[in-house]
Amino acid sequence: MNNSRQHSNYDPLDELLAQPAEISNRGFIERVSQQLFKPFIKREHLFMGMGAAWLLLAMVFGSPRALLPSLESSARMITSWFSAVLPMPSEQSTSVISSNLVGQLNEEISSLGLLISQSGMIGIYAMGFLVAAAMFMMVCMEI
Amino acid sequence: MQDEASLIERALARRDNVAFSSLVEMHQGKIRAFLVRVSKSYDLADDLAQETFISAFRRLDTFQGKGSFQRWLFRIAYNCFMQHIRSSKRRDEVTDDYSIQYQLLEENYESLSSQQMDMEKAMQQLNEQESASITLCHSYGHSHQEVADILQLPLGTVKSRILRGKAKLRKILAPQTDIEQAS
Repeated sequence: MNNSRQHSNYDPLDELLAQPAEISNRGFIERVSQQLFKPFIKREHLFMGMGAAWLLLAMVFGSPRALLPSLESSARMITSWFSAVLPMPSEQSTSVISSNLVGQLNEEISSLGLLISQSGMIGIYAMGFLVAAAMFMMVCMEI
Repeated sequence: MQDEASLIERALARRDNVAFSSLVEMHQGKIRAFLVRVSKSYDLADDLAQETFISAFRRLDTFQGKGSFQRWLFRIAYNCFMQHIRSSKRRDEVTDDYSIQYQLLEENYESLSSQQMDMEKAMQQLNEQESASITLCHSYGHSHQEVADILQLPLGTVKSRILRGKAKLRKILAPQTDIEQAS
């Protein structure tokens, strides 16, 4: 029991003390709420970033056929550059060599593109799995 | 509006931030007013109150539900204040310029009567143990034993701080009121 409340004598100081001044909010509740929600906002940003990266990777590696034309044009550019720099015996032989070279390069590039796209797809699935695992762990740990 | 017990239960069981925000809304006025009295600075009191509630949210599982939630918050708030004192030696930086405090009072309190204003000004002249003991006991109705638990002081010390603090308040407030004559 509060000893001070046991007094029977009236004390104006006690009366005054029993009416403490109320402090104004001044955005305090909002500031604390913001602090409380901070980890959730950070987590949200993390997931959004990971999702965007995943989407980008899926766009790049999802359609390997779309990459082939650009790789082919690069191969042609390199071939023409070589043919311009290196002395060639004749125009006919040059065209034969260059067409063979382009064909060979195209084949190699196709297989390389396929390899890249396959490893990319594996990467996407691995990343997807990691995101799902991270989300599951975060939900379990409630952080 | 939901009752305190169900909000604590929600915040505890599901780490429900919205429920905890409601608890902050319920108790912030008292915690901040208490911290203003002990720290003698509105800005510092706000920072410490924020720290108190964040710390309370993180340590909510240590609140066993035994005793009052408000008392538990007061204890965290006082610990935060003492930690601040220890870390920054803030005690020496407390301003003696009561005219500044007077101006701040009007801005920071809601519907403050002239008597309450005089009381808040007088409180600024007590040391932190005196103002904390008097505020908890006389303003927020805690028993001497509860105050001793919150401030982690011996019961006798709390009683003597209250007596000494009240004597100081009577002396300070005497020219403005009839408090001294009444005592």
